[in-house]
Amino acid sequence: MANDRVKLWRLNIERAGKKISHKLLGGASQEDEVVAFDVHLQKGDALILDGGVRDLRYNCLDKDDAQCSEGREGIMVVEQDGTYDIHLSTAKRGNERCSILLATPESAKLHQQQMHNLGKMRRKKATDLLLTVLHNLFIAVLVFAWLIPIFWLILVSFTGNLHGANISKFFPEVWTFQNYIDLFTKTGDVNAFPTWFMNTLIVSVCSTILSTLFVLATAFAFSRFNFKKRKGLMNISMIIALFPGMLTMLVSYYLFEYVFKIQSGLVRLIIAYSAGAGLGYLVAKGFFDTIPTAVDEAAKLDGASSSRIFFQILVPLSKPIIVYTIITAFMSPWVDFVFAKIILGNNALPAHYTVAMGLINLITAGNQVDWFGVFAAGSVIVAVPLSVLFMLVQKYYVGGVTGGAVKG
Amino acid sequence: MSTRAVTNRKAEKVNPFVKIWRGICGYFRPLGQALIHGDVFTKLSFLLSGCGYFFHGHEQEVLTHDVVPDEDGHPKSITIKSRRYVNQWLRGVFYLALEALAIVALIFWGVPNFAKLSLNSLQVCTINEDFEEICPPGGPDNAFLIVLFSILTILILVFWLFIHLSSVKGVYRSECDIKEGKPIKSARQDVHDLLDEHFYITTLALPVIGILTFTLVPTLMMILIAFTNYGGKSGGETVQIHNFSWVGFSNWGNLFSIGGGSSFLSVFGSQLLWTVIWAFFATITCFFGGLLLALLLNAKRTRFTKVWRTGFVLTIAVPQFVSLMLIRYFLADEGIVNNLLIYTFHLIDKPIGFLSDPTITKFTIILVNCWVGFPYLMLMISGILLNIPADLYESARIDGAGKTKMFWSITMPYILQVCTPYLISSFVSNINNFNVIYLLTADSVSSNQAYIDVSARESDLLITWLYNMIAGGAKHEYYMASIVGIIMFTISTIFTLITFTQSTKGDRERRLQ
Repeated sequence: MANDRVKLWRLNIERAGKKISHKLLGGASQEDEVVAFDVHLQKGDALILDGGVRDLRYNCLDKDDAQCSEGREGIMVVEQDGTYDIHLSTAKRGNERCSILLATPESAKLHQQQMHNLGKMRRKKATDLLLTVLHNLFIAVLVFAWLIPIFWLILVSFTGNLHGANISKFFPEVWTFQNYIDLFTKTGDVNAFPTWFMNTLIVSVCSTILSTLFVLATAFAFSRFNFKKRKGLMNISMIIALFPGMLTMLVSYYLFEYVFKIQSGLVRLIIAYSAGAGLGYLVAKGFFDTIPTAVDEAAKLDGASSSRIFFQILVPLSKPIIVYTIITAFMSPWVDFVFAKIILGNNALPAHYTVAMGLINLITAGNQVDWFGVFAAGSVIVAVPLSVLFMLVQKYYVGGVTGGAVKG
Repeated sequence: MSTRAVTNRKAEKVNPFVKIWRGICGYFRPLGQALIHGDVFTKLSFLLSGCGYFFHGHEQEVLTHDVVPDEDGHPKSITIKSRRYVNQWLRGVFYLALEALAIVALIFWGVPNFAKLSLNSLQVCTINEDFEEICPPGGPDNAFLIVLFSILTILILVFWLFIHLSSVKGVYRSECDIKEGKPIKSARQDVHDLLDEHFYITTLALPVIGILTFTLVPTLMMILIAFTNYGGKSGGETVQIHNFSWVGFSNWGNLFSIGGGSSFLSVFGSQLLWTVIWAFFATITCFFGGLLLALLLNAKRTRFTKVWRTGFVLTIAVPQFVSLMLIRYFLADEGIVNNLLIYTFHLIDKPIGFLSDPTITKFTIILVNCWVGFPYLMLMISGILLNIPADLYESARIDGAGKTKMFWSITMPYILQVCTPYLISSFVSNINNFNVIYLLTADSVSSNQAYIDVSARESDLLITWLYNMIAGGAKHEYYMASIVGIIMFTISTIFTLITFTQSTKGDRERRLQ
């Protein structure tokens, strides 16, 4: 970005092609900097500003202080002999712009005015600083307020369980690491965190592979082929996805239990999470649509088949969207507690739970007195990797939630 | 527009019924031709799907690729032209296999269940005088499974029929091609096409099968449940689970007849109203909150922008079942907030029912949703702000526009344009927003008998109510859940169609510039 780079701008003054003087100016990182100096110039002298300036303006003021010329070129040629006051100034931070003001001695008044403004600006800078501090302080307070539940989560996970669950105090009375130890060692009917973790890991890895394939395959078909039923299929898939998933999951339970006779909870969850994945093709399709078809056509001329174009051209070009698809698919088994519960049925043993189901079970109906701290510890352990993953993909996520409306 | 263009457009305009009729005719015409003009194998294909492909073949020029060593001994790929007998046996095998599958489904899933589909004389277990359960041989009937298997079979048959008819057309086409001496596609060519011209069939096959089985079948099933008394009461007795019957539209009649004395309608009405209010406020508050946060973070004065952003994003990244559960304890009657207010600041005497008083709960929920939603929208709107073309501001500055002017005439319109479809779809997803309300109010109980009767709470949205009906409480009122589901589906569909037509109206961004 422009404002990360410190760059000097240089004003060269040339007479008959030879440099006679130069001045340096802070450049794009400096805010509202002004360099003023006097110089005697002859007709035909050239003022040349360099330093990769994208956008240069200059003003020339004649004897009556009226603007005589204005432009955006980097070179200005003096039209009259005389001593000039030259004001070089940068524009606002972040904009790569610089302007030169040339003034005749007669317009010294203007120069003074400028210097006066400069002093004003310095005073303004002081109040500016104060405002900046207040502004950032306000944001800091907001961020802090937003993070309170997360601070509390971490504190609870280190709270010793002396008098039952501590839900009425923010800071622990007794600090302990016991919750984390219990989480992994005190396993039994209620707590089976290591098993839950493994279950969820297996389910999420497998369903990620399947659903990423499904999403990319569907998106590719809709983006690159113009077959007869395309429009109809796309419309149906948009509507069908709107039926409450909870109800369809309920029927899926019967499908698993009686029609396909799948007893393994892990297999059920893998299928349930990935079977409908094709419906989420929209974001990936939006991305594929931005890759010009000229790329495919060139490959086709070279004799590549559609499958090769997909695997060897589109997939490598679509890394961002693949990362997005993979990570959203990976995260959903970790945070879902409703579908998993319905799919596994009411008689599922705790050993077959996923992390989300199991942790919620730890603090529902009578359990929370003993297990609140352990719940918090388990939540921290699940939340840390998920947060890191989310941070990594947040920029892709923005494009995702707007459904391709924002294109980078 | 010139007059000629107008007349042209008029000429193209066809009555939609005529259009549909033409479509139907166009679909069946080749079938009729196949039946009349086709040879014996084509006619046989009507019975044995795709069998004509085995017998329709001819000698034609075939291109094969081979690798031979060239003069220097390096492998070199060459194309050989040869004449060979070609038929399309692979297609024949495929269509025959599909027909076999359809027949197997019909025999094993269809026939036994179609017979009982009226759900009139279901075999059930009875309990005799000695309190022994006596079940019919072969086990009791499960009405749910009867309906489910019937739907599966019907769907399989319908899809098979479509494929079958197109295969007949294909067989006839190959017959015609052979008569005219045109080349037909060999089995090898067919396989190659599946990776090239018809690659979309390969890529779509599995996703579509997955969607049909685990989305379409369940949707149809649940819609049918609305016309049964599954989980409801009949004659004062709760209908035994797995043993229900068709009741036609009487569920819907009960829902919409006010005189029925059913508490369902009154609860349903207030839940629907609350759902719409919630969706509206949740969408609006989050949009403006997110906008403010985004502007705040993108302001010129802001330092450490990345740190602040990370802080906000962290709240999205932590799973909701963790963060919202904690907030629930935070705001509980004996939670930290109430303790602070009572014992530390002595502001109140008894705890405020943030999540136990029905009215306050609704405000709390919308507030907590702000906690959830602001960072989301902040993230999104920041992205949009970065995407506003800089030259828009540049030209505005040259025209002498001030900051406020630029905000209201460039930034806001741009954000609104990009966000409108998102706002409507977020309204829809808020209607379906389960997590916030379920996690915050899971253990609260209504004190109103009308609500208890239908396993609802005042703060429930339709979706959380639905969950209570199918999985939450002891009772499972599936037919009511189905009705609620269908109504939610209808609302969501309407709003989605609005978004869809809006967003396809024209290129929004171009209009702006």
